[in-house]
Amino acid sequence: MVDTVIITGATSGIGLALTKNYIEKGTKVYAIGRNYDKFQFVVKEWCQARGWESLCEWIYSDFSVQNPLVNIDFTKFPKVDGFINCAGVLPIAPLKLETEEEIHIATNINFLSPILFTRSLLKYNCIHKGGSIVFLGSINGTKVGSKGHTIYSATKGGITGFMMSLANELSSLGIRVNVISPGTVETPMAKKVESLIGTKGMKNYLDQYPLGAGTPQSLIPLINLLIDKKSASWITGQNFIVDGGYTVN
Amino acid sequence: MENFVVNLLDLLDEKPGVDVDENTVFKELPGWDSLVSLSLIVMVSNDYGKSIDGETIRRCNTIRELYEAVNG
Repeated sequence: MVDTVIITGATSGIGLALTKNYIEKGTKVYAIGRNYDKFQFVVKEWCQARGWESLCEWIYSDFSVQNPLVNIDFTKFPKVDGFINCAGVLPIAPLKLETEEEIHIATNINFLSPILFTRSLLKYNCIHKGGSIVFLGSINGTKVGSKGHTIYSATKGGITGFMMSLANELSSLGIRVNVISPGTVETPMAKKVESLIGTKGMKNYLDQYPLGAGTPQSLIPLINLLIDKKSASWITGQNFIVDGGYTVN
Repeated sequence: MENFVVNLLDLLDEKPGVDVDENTVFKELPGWDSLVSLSLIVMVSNDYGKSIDGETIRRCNTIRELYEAVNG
């Protein structure tokens, strides 16, 4: 049983599905995000309707800015069993047309802020011994490099490298660190891709997935397994590709 | 329209060695590929504050059709 986890990106896509999954199992979730109204609408009201308000707590942090942790008092932060970083953005443009601002924001959200947040969790001893950290990566930047995805690939590849070294560093504490790298999952992020390349273009792309596109639920069992120390006590430093067979096609 | 043609040609890595005007079938321009299509989507958003998707680009043939789709 996992008692408490921290989830970033808890109001959308994979993070939202994961948040609901943990709450349904009785795990307390600390949701990190910047949009309280959205949290209230998609998570809090869902909890209230089921009498589970005590299982979800909101902590404000804006991962898009340079100092994402200024409003968090880590000395009062709860001690948790797991941290799952799902927050992410997907800027799509050829590199020469990316704006500096977009590059900075994507790098902050996908790479720097998760690192700074993890650093503080460790500095203030907020993760139990035997706990687990999971970062959501991507097949982009670890197995493939799609056109128009340079910054996204750089951040996802970067976080995967960070994970490997951190897994080694934290082994003495029994804290395990892994990355799950999905292919295309039916989320608002995939909708953004579809809005750019069109329905037909998206269909052609998804036809390259032997098992079709994934759903957020496709990833939850593996995240659950990695967070639970009983099921994954000897698994650390790994990048798990979960892509419906795309990269072997 | 003239500016649109210039901006469109700027997306190509190399200048086409042919005359280009509003009646040119843009997908037949040398160097036109999926990345240039993506560049076009981003350019239309950044420079014109409009949006165009891959489906629309696929439906258009000439630069004029593209221009009208952007400004339609």
